[in-house]
Amino acid sequence: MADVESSKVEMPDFVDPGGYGEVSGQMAMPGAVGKTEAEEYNTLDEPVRETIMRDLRAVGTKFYHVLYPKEKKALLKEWDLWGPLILCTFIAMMVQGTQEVDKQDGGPEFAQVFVIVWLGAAVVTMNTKLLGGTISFFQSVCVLGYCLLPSCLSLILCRLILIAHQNRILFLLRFIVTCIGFAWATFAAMVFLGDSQPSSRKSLAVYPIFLFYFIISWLIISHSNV
Amino acid sequence: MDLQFQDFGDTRTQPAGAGGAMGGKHEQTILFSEFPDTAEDDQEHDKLMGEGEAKDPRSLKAGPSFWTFEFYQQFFDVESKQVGDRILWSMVPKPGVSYLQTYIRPNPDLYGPFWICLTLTFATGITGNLASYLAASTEETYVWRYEFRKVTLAASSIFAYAWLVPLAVWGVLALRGSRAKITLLELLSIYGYSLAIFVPVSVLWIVPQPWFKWCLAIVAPVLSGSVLVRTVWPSLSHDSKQVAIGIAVVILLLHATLALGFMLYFFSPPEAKSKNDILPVNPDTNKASTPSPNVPEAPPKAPEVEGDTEAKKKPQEAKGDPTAAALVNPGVKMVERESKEIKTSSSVKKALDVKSPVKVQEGVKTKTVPSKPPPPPPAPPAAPTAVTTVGKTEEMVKKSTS
Repeated sequence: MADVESSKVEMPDFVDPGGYGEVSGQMAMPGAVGKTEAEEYNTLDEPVRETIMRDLRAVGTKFYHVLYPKEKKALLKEWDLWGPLILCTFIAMMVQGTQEVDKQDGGPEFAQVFVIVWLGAAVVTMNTKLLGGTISFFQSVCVLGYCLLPSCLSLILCRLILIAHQNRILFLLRFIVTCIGFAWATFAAMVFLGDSQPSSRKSLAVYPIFLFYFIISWLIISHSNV
Repeated sequence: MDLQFQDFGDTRTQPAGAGGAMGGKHEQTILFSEFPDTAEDDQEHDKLMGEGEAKDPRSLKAGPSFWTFEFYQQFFDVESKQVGDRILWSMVPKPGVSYLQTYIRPNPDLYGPFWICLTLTFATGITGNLASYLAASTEETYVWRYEFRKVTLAASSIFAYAWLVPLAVWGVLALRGSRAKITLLELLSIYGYSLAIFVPVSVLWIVPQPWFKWCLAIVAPVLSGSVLVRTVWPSLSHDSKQVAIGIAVVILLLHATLALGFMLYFFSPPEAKSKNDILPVNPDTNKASTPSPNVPEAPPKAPEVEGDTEAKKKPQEAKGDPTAAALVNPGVKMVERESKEIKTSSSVKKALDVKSPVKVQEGVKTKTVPSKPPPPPPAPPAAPTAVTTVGKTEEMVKKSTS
């Protein structure tokens, strides 16, 4: 059409609709993309102390929840294996037999304790899953590892008791302390892991946990050389 | 357009090969011999039978693969009550009831065998340590030496028995052409549960009475072995009597060997693993540790006291020697027995370090001193008193031997 061709149409510039010039900036969107980039940027940039403190605080919170097992989700929601590693290393160091030949202590080696704790946790977890449990592998290992805390505390107490000259009463005291640690650990683990099994199989899933903490407690009570 | 029916005649209606002698043209029997499969029929079938059932034949054929987790889940398909029943009835042979049929058959499991083996490993390790602790010392300063390596040995032997012997039995049954068809899984289950009786038995083995230990070592394998043999017997019944009895005897023997092995290795008296290096140091000083009242009545009282400690410490060792020697010369034999008893408690060594100067004086009279067996409990408190009584002892000895 002749009239269309002749008129000059002013097309607005889509890049600059209102004539404001270059517009750029960050929008706080609910979507994930912008936020994680900002966060990653921050965690890479933050001082090392903050990173360590954040992890330590997470571990500390979980320790608190193990000692007072009321809320179940705390350990399961964000599992980590720092706590189990610290506890396992501590127990293994304390419980291992001496290397001196004349003492002939029959205690376990450091590596044996490590193997017992980690393989034991793995086997108990596999058992729970094979019976039809609804918990993930690492969540269960995390819970079992963190629940070593009461046993660890009883080990420290036993070690303090061992400083004194030993007699029957002190042995009985050590025995009671270890029993309390064992019962506390088993109870805490049951609180966290108990719901993942149907009720007809609950005792089948609880027994391996009981056995696991029983063996650790036996290692603790048997350690009697100073 | 006209529609006309074609008359096909008789040729179309004669079935192939069949004597279809028809009558006239008007009688036509049409026999259908081919039924083409239509898709609609299959769908209707599925809807009629329900989706689950239509899927079942397919799933039974395929089965979960060996490499998936679900394959292993089928071995753990048990309830708590079932496991409890299986454990209980593996220990007690119920007459008239086949353990296999009643308790294992629908779903044999591996939960029981695995956890019973593991429990037994640690039960024998722990109770073995407890037994040696209780038997070897009643004094307060005893340092509990425990042997962790026994646990690893126990683990290997128990797991080997519980998993290799059923394999062997299954192999033998398969070779002999058994018709009863016990599967390997069922054999593993039965053997695993038959070990359950040894857990409470190992706890009872702590009691240091040897006759009690031997009673347990005989009764336990007989009970669980009888359940084993009764379960396996139907698969052997088609064989010749001799072979069947032979296999049953072998099964029982292996079971009894396991029980005996436990008892002798874990629950044997501590003198069996005595430390020889302590012997040269202590025999003289140990005599000094005995309390003074026993000194004048050493010969008549010593056998009684020794008999007491013997029962506590060495239930099975050299019973003949002490009684004979006590009549002849209490001194000589008592020294030997004492020295053996000394080996077990190293804390006695500590307690007796006080008396090292005494050792020199009594060294000459090692063989002839009528000694008293060291009662361990009063050893530490007796230490100071013992030193004073040593002098009296020596005087008495010199008078009696000169």
